[in-house]
Amino acid sequence: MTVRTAEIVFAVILALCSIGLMVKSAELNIGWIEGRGPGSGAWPFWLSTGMLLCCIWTIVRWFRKITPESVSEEPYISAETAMVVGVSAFSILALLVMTQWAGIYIALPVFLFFYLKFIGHHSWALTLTLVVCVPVFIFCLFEWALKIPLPKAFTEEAFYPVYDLIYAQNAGERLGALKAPIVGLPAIGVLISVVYWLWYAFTRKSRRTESSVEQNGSATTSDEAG
Amino acid sequence: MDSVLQLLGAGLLEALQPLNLLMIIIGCTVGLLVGAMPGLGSVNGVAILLPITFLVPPTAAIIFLAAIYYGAMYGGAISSITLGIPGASTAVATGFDGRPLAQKGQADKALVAAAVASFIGGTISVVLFTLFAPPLAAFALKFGPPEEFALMMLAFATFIGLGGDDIPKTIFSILIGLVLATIGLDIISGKPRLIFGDISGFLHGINFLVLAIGIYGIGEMLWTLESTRGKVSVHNVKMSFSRLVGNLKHVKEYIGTTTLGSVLGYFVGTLPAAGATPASLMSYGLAKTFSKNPEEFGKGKVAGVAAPEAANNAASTGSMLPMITLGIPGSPTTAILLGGMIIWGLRPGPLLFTEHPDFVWGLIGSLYIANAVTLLINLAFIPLFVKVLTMPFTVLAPIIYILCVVGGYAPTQTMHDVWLMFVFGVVGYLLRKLNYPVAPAVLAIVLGPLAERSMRQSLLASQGDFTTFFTRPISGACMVIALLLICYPLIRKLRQRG
Repeated sequence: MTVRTAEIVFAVILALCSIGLMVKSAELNIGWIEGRGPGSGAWPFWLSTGMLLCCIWTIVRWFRKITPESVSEEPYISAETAMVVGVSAFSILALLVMTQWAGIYIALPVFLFFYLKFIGHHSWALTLTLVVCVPVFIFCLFEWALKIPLPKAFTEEAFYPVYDLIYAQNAGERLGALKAPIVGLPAIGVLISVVYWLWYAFTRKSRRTESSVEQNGSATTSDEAG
Repeated sequence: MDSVLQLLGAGLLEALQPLNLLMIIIGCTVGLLVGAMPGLGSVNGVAILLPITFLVPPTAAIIFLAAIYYGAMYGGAISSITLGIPGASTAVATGFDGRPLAQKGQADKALVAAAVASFIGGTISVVLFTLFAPPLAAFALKFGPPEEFALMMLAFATFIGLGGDDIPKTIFSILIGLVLATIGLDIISGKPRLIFGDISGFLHGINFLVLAIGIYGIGEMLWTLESTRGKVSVHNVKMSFSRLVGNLKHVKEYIGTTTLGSVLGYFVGTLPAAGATPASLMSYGLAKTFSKNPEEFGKGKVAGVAAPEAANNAASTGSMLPMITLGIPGSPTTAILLGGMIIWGLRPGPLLFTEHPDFVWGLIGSLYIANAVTLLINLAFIPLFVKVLTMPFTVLAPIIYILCVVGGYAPTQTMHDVWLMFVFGVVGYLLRKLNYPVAPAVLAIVLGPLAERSMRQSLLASQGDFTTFFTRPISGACMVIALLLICYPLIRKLRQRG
């Protein structure tokens, strides 16, 4: 799509939106109410009418070809731009979908991991550091310091022990709340170790297969060279 | 005069309170970093970080945000000089001579000149602010609803007449901002308005932060991604104490143009829509005009770096004058600051001076201190800020996206607003590619409720007589100037044809 086409497409879409807003405003009183002044729909109705007139103005100028956008035959979004910007936009969209569905503390690490490792191609050390530290920082800042609970979806209950700890009124309550992490953290540690061991065992097997293939390949190449 | 000095003294003491001083230091540092990042400016920093300020009292919060604003003006020069990419549009003119100096291996000379000129510009403008703010606020106390409405029309008209953008698209941007502000419950009748698809999320209206973070957070990052492809190359900066002292000796070369640029920048900054970018460009032009060697400009003249930097800093202070005294923001950043003040339960305008003097004078006092703090941080850590610029965009971008999502959620704590923010970000980016200006929409959504209320109150008092806006002297003058400003581009076009 060229810039010229995009200009008219957007002008028409915005004109239709303006008409929609006018209709929606007209559902309320857009006239004068005795003793109460203009009706509640009057202000948005006339503003929407102004928007529509601006769109018509843009459309007229498009037909007359008097603006840079109405004559430009350059691509509106080039393939390269669509790739670069599209990946970012879709990753944010995925972040929002995951936040809605699984809560922010699952969405953030997954989003960061995807963005840093697959888009940025950063090292494992940097990726894992940010994957862990950014959600922890967000939790401490918003939930702890600002007392703004962020969306957690079905993971909500998993945070109750942490809430018990940070909202504890006295040392006794805090100590009681610490019981859960004392039991929970080693359990999580064991779980991570098992997952890591499985991953290591699996990749070792595939690494062995790859190295044997490489050895065979290089042997073949040297044979051919010889 | 004595009372002003007394109040200023109290304001300085307020700004020197440990928490406020900490906010100044953190704000200036964050501002310097935000300003130095290509694609990010004061408006992005303030919009993204505003939700975090709920942590501290309003005075400390406004001081923090004002310090970001201030620091970002200094920081913009760093990327303009070392990368050749302006950190924000306000630093475009700085690059005209800053970049050639960097290419000659004198980046440190340009950076020191930018920092010192920013300090001079900031100091002169804060003094002017202190002198002009109390009488203007006292004068504005006489304003009734018609004057308030006329003043807002004047603010919108300056965007149309002086903004330099496409006129129907600018008007459209203002109008859509005003319409978005009407969504939710009607302020007078209490009836729900424009609740699309009966989605309950619209009942509480659209918070200005949702639009601001969408446009200046997500939209701006997508825009930067497109323009830079995430790749930048940094010029090395050689900096040592002896070089710093040597560079400071050049101040006498540009003190005249810096002073002139500061005064010009301050007054241009007070005009809504004009702001720091035209101020810095005008100051550069003025410095070139009055120079004995104008042909040296553009080839690495240090006065060509100092003049725009002084002006953009002065303009940032200038844009706070109408915000504090009249409740009319002079720039998109001050529009967000104004929205923040409403969130904190303050009513921006002349009454602030009488109802919350500690808040206003604390802010003014903090500007003096922020100026000195930013200069010191800037000069001491120039190499560090340059180093930060080498941070890969793919690390910065996801962190900013996350702050946008969390910042969009925080004010109302509904996912509805986060989705809206995303839509605004993407649509804002797409429209910006077609030359639709986005700043007027942000200004309009902040001023929208105030504009509607003052208009309806005026019409109610005058029994529906629209001439009430023209028959009262102050509102009449504002409306006439507003109409002239709206007609100005048309008059200019007709004269060009003639």
